[in-house]
Amino acid sequence: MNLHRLHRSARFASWALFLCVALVAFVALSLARSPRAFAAPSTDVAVPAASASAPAPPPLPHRPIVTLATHEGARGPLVLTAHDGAYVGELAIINEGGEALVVSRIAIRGDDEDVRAPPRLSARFSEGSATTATIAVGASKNVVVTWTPERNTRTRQVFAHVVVTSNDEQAGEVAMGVHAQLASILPFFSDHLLSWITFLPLLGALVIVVLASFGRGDDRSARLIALVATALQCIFAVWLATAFHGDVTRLDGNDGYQLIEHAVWVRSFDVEYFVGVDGISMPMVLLTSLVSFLGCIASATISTRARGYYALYLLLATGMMGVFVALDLLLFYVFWEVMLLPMYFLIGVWGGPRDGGSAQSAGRSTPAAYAAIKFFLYTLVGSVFMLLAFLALYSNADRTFLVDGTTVAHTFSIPELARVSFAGKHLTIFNVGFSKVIWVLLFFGFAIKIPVFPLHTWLPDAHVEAPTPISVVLAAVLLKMGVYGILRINFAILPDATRWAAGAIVAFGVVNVIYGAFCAMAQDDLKRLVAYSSVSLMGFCLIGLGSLTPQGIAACLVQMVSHGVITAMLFLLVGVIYDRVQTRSLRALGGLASQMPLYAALCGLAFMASLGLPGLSGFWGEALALLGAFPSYRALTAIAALGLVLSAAYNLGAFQRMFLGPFRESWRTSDALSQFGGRFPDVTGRELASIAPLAVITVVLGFWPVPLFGLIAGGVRDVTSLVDPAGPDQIASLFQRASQALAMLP
Amino acid sequence: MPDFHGPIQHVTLAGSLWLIVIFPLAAALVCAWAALARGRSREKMRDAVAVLSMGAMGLAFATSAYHAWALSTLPDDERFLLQHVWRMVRLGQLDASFDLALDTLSSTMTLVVTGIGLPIFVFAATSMRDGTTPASYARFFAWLNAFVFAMLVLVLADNFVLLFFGWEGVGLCSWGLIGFVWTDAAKATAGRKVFVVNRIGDAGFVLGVALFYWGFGGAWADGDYVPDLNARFSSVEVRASSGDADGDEAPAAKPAPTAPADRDDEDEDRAAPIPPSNGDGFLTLTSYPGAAVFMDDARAPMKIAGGDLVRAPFVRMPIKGGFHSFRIHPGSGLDDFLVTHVAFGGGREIALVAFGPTVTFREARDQLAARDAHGHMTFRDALLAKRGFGAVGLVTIASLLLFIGAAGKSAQFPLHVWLPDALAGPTPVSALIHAATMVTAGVYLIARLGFFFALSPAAGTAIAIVGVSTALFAAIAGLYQYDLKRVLAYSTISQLGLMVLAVGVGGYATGVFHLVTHACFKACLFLSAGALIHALHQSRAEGASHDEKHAQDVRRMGGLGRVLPRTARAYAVGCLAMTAAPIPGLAGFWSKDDILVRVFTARNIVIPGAILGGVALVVAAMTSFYMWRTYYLAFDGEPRTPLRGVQPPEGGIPHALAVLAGLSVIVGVLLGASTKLIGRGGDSLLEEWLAPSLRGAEAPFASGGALVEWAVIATTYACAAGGWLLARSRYAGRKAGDEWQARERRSPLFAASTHGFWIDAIYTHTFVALTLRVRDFAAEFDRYVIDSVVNATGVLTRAFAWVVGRVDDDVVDGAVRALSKGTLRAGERIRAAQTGRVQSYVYVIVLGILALAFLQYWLR
Repeated sequence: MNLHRLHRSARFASWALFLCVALVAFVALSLARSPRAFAAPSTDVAVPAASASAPAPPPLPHRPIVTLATHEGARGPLVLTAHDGAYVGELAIINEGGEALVVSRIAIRGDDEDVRAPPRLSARFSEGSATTATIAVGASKNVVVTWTPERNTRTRQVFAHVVVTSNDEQAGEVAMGVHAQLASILPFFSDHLLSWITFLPLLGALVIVVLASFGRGDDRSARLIALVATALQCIFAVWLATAFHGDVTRLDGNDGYQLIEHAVWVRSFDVEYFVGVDGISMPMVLLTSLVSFLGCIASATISTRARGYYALYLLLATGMMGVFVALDLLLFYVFWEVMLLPMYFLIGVWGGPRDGGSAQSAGRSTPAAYAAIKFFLYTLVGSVFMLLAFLALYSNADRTFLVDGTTVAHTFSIPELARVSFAGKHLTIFNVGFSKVIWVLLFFGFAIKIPVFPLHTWLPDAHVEAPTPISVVLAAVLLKMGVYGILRINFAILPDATRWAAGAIVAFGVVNVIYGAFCAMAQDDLKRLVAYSSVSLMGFCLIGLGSLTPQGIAACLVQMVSHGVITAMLFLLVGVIYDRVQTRSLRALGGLASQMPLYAALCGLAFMASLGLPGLSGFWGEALALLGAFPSYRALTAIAALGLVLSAAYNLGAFQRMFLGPFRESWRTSDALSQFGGRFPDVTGRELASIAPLAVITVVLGFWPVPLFGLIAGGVRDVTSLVDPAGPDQIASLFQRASQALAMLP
Repeated sequence: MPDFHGPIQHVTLAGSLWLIVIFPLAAALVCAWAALARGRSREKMRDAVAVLSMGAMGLAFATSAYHAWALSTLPDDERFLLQHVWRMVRLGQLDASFDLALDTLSSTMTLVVTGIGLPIFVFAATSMRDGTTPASYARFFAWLNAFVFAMLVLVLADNFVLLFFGWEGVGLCSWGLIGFVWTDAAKATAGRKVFVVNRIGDAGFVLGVALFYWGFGGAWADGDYVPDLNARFSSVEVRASSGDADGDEAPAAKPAPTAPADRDDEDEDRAAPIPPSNGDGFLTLTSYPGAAVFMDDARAPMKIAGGDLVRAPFVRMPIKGGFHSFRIHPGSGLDDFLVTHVAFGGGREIALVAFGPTVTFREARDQLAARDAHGHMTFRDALLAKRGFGAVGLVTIASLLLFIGAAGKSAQFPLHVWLPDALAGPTPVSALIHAATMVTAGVYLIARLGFFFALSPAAGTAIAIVGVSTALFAAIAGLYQYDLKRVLAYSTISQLGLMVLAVGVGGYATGVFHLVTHACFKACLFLSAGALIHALHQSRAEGASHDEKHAQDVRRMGGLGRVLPRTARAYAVGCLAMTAAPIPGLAGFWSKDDILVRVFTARNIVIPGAILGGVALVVAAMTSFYMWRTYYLAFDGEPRTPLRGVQPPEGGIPHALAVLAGLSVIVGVLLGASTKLIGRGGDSLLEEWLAPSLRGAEAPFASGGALVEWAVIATTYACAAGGWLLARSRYAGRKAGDEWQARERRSPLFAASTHGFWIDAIYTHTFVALTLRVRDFAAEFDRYVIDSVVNATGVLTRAFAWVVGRVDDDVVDGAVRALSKGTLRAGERIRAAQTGRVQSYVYVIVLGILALAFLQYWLR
């Protein structure tokens, strides 16, 4: 297709935006019934799963029929309300059948092995025996659900199920969702922090589009709106970080997630709006919001069709954030695709060399369009495999409950799927184990994003053609989605297959490290060099990931963050020189240190961070990945250690070719510098505003990584115990230790 | 009862250790700011920068000296100051905090770094004034201060991770300083070479650390390593070291400490922990700094009398007698550790120690020294039994990997190639980094890990061989160099080889001794050479062709002793200290002699020490020859180029030289003197001082007695004197015309020597070429193979789409079109029947009726 012609106006871009907005509007509309709104009777839902609460056809005379209802007589999570320190709610068990209903057990779902609910949550009958009762025909009995959180509890909310077992064999176990939320100052914001963080940029995009469609608003106002939206997102992210407890694990209930928002979205498809963060996603949320904001600052160089640019940019920000907070596979997929589309246009339309647009001949695809379509197709292929795998997981899931207590046969919920023992089902696809096939499908989809050799060639092209801020976002955030997806989905849902494939992950990682480094060495285009160094550095993520040791997993997470920060910084710095002389060729530069000392210092810092110098954040990821992988993969780790040498070679080489040696006086008279009076202007205040925060983070995390490790501690523990259950040779497992510790208490 | 007993490192908490490192850091930051601040580059800034830097260095030296003094006031086995500055990483069993530790070894090193650094700073403040702008002057001192900071962090690190901060930090600063004049592409490249070659060593170092770390925990079953992911704490009763390091004569199990008899006795004796109170005990916890400790089922952390929470590290906290349990909470998100049923009483000190994988030096050493209830050194035996990569012992592999790192830093063959190039940097940099401090980091590392290296005679032998061959190789390479600084560079490599030889055979204190003396006399030599070069360089204005390159060429020197007498004297003292001939008794004499005695009597290596010792003697002779050669060529005889305008150095330079020359004279006697003089054991002073730090690193030596010692001294002196005599006969006095050059060229070793055995060329044509080949291959593979697969996929897809499109157009659409066309055509044909004439219609009707009738009849 002739991309260029389509791009001639930004109208096409706004169409795309409109589509996405419509999609998200659909999400929002289906969510109109927020958890609180569930109390209202829902008549519009006429799906089989919900029919249990609807007036049933004439009941069979000789069968008890169990129905759970909140006081208002509706389905939906029972919201516990505060009563002097405790949170209490009542639900009724109603017998709508023709025979006495014998309730043999009411309990909070979960047990010692699989702690689902936060501690100190209980359910019992309001009178009589605590957990058993007989309910006459047509009668009902009340159950009191109580949550008494400890003082200074780390768990600020409850999502759980009260499960009722009765002699209604046809219904089996039925459940009622329970939800409680500790009081907070600004509940409108703080109870929906993740939604705010995710959809704030989208709100900004809508404002831009609406203004534009009414003929109001110019490029400057669009930029302002984008800046405000991303800045607010950053502020919310900081708020989120303060509300987040890094040491919460699965043992604290809610599956180890925090700041959850959970509601049924598409009932007919068992899809839920389920977002939450844990130690794995939290650093990525912070990184995403920071990079979105800094990228927005750096977008000042975009001068053409800025309204469309910012609208798409904000949409991209929403998509990225959504991927990191979604806990429902379909929701994850939706965000994944929402992120993909704007990226395509941002590279294709706003990419390419500046002022080169007029040279494009109609009908020939430009390099930017080539890069964009390459990116798009690669990622699309990946997401097709991903979607297939999601559907396969969905259709083989066990019977479970939605958040409101509805019984469903299948589920997209990641924590619920994590409980399904796919390996234990002995399913096969083409005679290969089900979980292995699905694992490989998922890995393929994510590997494209990381990118893993040999699926990486979209990356250099996309980077070279993308405008600076988009390169920044691409490298800092989008690459992390692959690793994140593997951690969140492959590791959590298919731990057995993960153990099976761990060696391959490490091997891929080692190839990435070495191959990427060699390729980076050979590059002349600075952006290409940084792109290949990304390939190399992401290899360390994979090595850590495959090691399955706590050090390795932590290394992976740390490397994700620090690579995001460092590469963002590098691309911003490349943008600085490109803005001055419209070239990124190392051959053309040289001796710049005398012209731009501050720029040289910043670049030196970034290159040093990239080569993993201790004292800068890049060190921790590399060193811990090597340390973590060493016991299991000694030879591979030894090869990967060569990456230390190679990264020093290409980073220092690039620095030397840019800054050292004699300065070429011919620059003084070049056209590029004529607008600056023949001098290289050093880093400006605006550029510094986008670079300095990253530089500070790099140094601080290098010497004092405690904040970062504090964020991920609980998540690392959960993941490790999932994929590497303590063997007999290890001293004690997590649970043994926990029980020992508990036993010591009086 | 405690699970183990042994000589756990007794730690004294010191809150002031950070002062040692903070001054250079602060100075570095201020100087960096000054260098980057534009528009403020005034001449005045130089003075401020110089004063600031020298002041910072002086303060660093003062604080180092203060802490050394503080250390010396402690009892021998308590000489260990520790400061937990902040937490860095704590994961599973990995606990890497920013912890500064000062024992006698690191105290020695801090004194060397700051003590030698101060005169060098003074020298640099004067010598760097020429040829620099104020901004680059500030940049120079920023890097120099940062270097000192990194070096101090390196020597003060309590664990591998922090050590690696300094380790890489000195490499970084070295890069910045060598490439200081970066407009010269060659110098910039030299700086990069330093970094990259060091990085090769670092790759080995990292792997060594990984093996070291995991080696202490888990098991190595059937070649498969089963990592030990969780920390385990044990209680250890602290006792003085009993028995030698071999452990084969472990004392019989001591009687198990009886349960405290008098539990009721509850008198408080918190104030004076040293005298054992009745029935109470003491608790020590130095692992996991910052960890909260819970005692005996308490939910709240332990508190001391003042009401403060008890957080690790703490030492000798009084605990009531009886059995106690402890829960250690190392930090949020981490597992708690439990230690149960620990008996206290009788004034015994119980330490809770994290056994298993560790990156902390003292914890590893404690582990190896700990004995269980039966007196077995469980951990040491387990470690020694571990094999990896075939049948080679884990300790040997780990030692060798760590040695690769040490070889990178200490310029050992084959990673020595960076050092001669590194002299592209300014002379003070050469003196500080490439003589006194950074290059000794490798030797320091091995000494620091002596307790580990001593476990593997095989690794020790390999290290000793590498050391002695490096010493020999570099000595040969130094024989006929014309570049004065290059001679010094090769002599540095050679001397480092001797140090490595010393630590390889197990003489850790000896290696450190030579490190100290070498730092003094090599700094002296470098700075006097620097003063000489500086003076020649200055005289350039007077018409002599003394540009930078020529200023270092000994062929253009000669007779300089007459115009630069003090510099010549300082250089001569340096030569004397280094070669020990013709006047013995200066610094190097003692340490070199000590090395040779150790080598000849070594027992912890698998080859006879005499072989190594013999080579070392040759090295000593060569050293003497080439050092005196440079002295005579530079300072003696007739000037080979005009000396007009050569002025003696001014400013701080003569003072710096005087101080270093003085140190070169006395430091050997001072540190090598027997401690009998102060009423102690009779070892040399330094050895006695270092003993607590080198506990567990006692490699066995044959007891040679005075006879061996004197024989070695005599032989060494004879060799050195022979070298001196040869040099004197060839180069001294007026005899030196130009024929000495021709004579040198006739020497069989000349070509190999002047080209450094062509090692650089060999590397260029092998490793570098290979890397470049692979690089190009990878890039082209990426561009032409992978991308063409991608593009081919794209083309194929389009081709397929075209085919599908054609099929769609021609077949499917064709069918549809055919159908519609057929219909139309049929319609057109049929239209002909619509004539409008009634007759035709009647015919048709009649025919139709007939046909129907016929059908009716026929079908019936």
